[in-house]
Amino acid sequence: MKPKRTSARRTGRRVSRIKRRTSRPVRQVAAIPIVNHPNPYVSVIIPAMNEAKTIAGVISGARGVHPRCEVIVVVNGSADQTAEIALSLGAHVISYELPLGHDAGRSVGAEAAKGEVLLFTDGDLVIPATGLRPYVTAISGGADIALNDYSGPVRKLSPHPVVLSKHALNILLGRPDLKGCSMTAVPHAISRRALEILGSESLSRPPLAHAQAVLSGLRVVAAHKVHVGKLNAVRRKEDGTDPLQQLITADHMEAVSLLLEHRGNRAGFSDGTRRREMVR
Amino acid sequence: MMVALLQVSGSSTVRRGTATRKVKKRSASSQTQTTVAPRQRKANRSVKGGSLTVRSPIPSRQSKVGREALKLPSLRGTLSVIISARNEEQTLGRLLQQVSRLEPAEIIVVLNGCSDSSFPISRQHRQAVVVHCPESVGHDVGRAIGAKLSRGDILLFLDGDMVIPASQLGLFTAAVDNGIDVALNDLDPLMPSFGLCDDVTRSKLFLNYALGRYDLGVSSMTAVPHALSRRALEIIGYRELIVPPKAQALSVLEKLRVEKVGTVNVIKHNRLRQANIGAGNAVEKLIIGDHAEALLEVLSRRDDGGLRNSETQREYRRQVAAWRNRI
Repeated sequence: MKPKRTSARRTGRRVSRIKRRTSRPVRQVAAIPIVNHPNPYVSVIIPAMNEAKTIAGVISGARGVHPRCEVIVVVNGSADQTAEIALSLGAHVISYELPLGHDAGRSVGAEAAKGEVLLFTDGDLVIPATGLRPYVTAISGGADIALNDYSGPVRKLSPHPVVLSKHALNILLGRPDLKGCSMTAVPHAISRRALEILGSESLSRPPLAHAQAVLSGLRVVAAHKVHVGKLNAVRRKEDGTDPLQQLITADHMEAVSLLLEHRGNRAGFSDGTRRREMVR
Repeated sequence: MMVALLQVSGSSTVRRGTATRKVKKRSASSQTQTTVAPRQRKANRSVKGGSLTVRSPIPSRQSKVGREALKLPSLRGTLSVIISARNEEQTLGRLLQQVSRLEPAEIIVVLNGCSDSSFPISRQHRQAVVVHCPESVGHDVGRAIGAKLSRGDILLFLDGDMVIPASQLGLFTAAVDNGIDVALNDLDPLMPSFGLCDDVTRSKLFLNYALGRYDLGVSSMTAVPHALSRRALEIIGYRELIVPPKAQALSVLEKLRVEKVGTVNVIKHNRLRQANIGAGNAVEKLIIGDHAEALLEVLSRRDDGGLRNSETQREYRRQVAAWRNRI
């Protein structure tokens, strides 16, 4: 039975002025160094393009994922102070004057990474360390690819084509349990073993890397949910088309093609009891 | 083992052989044939009790006047109805009654591994041509066998497990009669949100999207009822009907007129069997495999504007990245 509330509690008055203890003790966090660890366990890869407003927040979140951590910022096609800010925060900055291309920064970052775990995020997503640590933990626990457990909005019957493509690819890969989780979305982490099998180049086309990971028998898990939908606005051209959407869905079709090459015309699904020779 | 036993209803002969076109060419001289043109059937009706009539023993509950009132609008083309059935004695008789109301030129019932009285029930029907495959030939193969034997301008495909009123079936035949090549059942209104859909539904949506026909929603040739034009059948090839999603992909790729024409709730009445319940069941996997085959067809014909060339690809991605960041 619930104890009766006292009148003192009900009116909100405190009997004594002693501070109440919270149920959870506050953890004492060691001061986070602002330099990269010489022998890092985790490499955080942050592609950035004109993200001066957010890059400091992103780096400070990234610093907290592990005591042995390096932050790699791949600045490309930026006209603002992104690179300078990142440098002042002790990040390893790789700069390109021109844009590298959609998701190409991931390959460049992976190439430079020294850690056992590679954590991918983005220059415009400010995520606190608590939101990033679960991915590292999952890889430490034996997973090869730890994905963002976020499937996108699925409340309508016909979702956004990218959301649909991610779901369909996982179904065809025989991993419907992954729903709409994909290496397309950040944050996600991969093991060094996964990087060696996939190759850093393939990370520029995440749906293909995703399919390749499942096909190679790597352990792919949905580790933790960061609701990135709200942080990522859709941009359209005047004619209503979204080139990025077309690029990502085309990559998914390419991934399906890869799958069919690997597993055969039916992607490894049985033909049941069909006797096709009955019809000629 | 691989020989299908073909039994043609109304004929005293039992033909053996693979399901070939031979059956289609029923000789005009055969007097035991009960498959007759609609006009002739009306004549039969008038000589009730005469020696010519071969009637279903189930008495009609409707009066003759009522029957006339419920007559459906007639079609310009001839209609072939193809029914695949697997142990459907409970529903087959009533379904055949509804089908008769469409006044089809022929009814082909493909019995797929039936061990119940589906065969005698179909044979009782005065018009049905029965293809009896004692051993199961597998999913959707019956449709292709039926399509191969058919001769009509309009082909209506049905499953024996569901009695659908003739008025609803008429939507599909009328659509094809009016120029549509592939008339699909629109299941969108019956579906929950994408998050709650099963994998088969998601695969159907994705195939339609990949075909550039996201407007078709979850409509698929996997679902019945659907109707095809003779032209569609010739372009697709009857053999491809074994894998319905592939047939659908071919229809769209060949620029046939594919439309959803009406909603028949086939989900509520779908018979639950051992193999089709629960997530990850055998039928679900089969249909997903079918969609893989269909996507292969789409992939083999795509025109990607040279994007598979890695340098063009890289340049394109650079442009997209630049465009997205110039806010």
